[in-house]
Amino acid sequence: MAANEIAGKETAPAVTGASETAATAVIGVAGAGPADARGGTSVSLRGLTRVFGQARALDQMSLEIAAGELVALLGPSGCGKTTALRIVAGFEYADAGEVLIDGKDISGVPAAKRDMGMVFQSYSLFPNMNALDNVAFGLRMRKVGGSARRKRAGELLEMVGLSAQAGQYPHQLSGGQQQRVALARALAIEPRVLLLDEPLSALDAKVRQQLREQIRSLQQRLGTTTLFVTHDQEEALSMSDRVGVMRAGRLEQVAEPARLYARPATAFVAEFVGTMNRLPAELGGGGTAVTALGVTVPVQEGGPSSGPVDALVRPENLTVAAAEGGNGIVSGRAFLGAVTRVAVLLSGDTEVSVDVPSPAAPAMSPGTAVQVGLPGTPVLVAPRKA
Amino acid sequence: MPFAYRSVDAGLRALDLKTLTEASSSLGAGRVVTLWRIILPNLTTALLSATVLTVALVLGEYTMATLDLTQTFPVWIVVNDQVSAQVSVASSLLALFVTWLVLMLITLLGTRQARRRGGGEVALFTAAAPQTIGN
Repeated sequence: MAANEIAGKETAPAVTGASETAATAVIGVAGAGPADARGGTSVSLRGLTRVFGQARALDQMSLEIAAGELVALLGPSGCGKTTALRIVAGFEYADAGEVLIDGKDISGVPAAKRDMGMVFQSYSLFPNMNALDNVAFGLRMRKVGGSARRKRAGELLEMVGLSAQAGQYPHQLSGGQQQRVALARALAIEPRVLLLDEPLSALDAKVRQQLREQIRSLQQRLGTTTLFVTHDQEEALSMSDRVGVMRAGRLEQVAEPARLYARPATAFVAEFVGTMNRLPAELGGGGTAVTALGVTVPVQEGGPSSGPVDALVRPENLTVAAAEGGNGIVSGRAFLGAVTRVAVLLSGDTEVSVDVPSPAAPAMSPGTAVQVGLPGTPVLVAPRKA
Repeated sequence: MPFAYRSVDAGLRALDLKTLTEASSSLGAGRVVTLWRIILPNLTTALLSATVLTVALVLGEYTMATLDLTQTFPVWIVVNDQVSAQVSVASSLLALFVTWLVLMLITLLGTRQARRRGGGEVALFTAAAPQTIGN
């Protein structure tokens, strides 16, 4: 009996919290105007800096996320992407900079009052509650009555395709199912922003693929502004409206996936996203043209304009043809389905990968002399690696 | 104390406290609500284990009590042993029976809870479940 008493008293502060956030939500929508009346929330990170001892986890990071957009933060581990997400969630504070939600600074608002749904990397379901109660927890904190709460939680479980598992406890669910319940739980509170912290990294490939599509279609249907952190480029490129590539606490480039792949702004982005060949090259024409493989092509902006450089070229942008006395020898090949990736050893010990249509691949057996060519499209250059 | 500590500590280790707390607060729960609704319910098994241990130890405690000149049940039995063997044996058996009953009850209760929630059985030492995930 004492238990109920304490619980009753304890939930009292949460009530005021909920009504406060509700109030700010109303103000936010009113401020955003009728165009965003569907509840889309914009997020902007301005000059976020976070220092852990000697390391700068975040260094003057700024990012604008439009209402209803899904933006992925992509980067190697330790690049600060998770720190950025945790600052938005309110679990971490920034040493400098601010987070604006619908133009309003939320730095002083505790995590519990931010109205953000979060899905974690590790399984985060409450072990003492079944799936339905887990999903309903956020609604309970918002004082939604018992039957309305169960109804809404049931709807959300149905949305993620787990109605049948409503009564099961987390330990009875598979990893993929747990993450889907976690997603339903995060969405149940109709969050202003959905935060995904590598939610798929603990799952096996097939489940990951399915869940990726499910998250994206749900996000688009609900129009929830989403920030998604991942180190898996395939995930970032296939799910997002825009991808921000991070390195050492800074955003290197923020762009649509196709643009990021085709026109990387820096050598780091170029080599982090997709496969990139480095070809020894000579700059000419005052840094506007570059010669590689005996071909001179225009230089794409973003690299150095003098000094020793490498030209960065995607495997599908190189050509290869069997030729006696060509400039390279096939050293290996890997069948990838529609294309076959052929590894060619060029004179000067440079190995490059070239994608050829699989029907043309049988001619490229290892040991074959080939001619690798470079079409005339602009290429990115990067300082030569020592 | 050390026994209770060990048991509760193992229970705490088996939980991913950081993530659970963060998940709970992102859903709008304050600290005390989190402790009450999330952490404590998940520690019931560990707490019951601690109780089993403590009850078992306390009911059998003689040494400290007799040194303290405190009249506990075990001490009383020993004192009465010198007066009447029959009373002493009878009360010893009674003590044994009561202890057994209490432990049985706690274990039954705990195991039923644990089975529902997928935790371990209530035993003298609760083993920490292996972490399901690294970082």
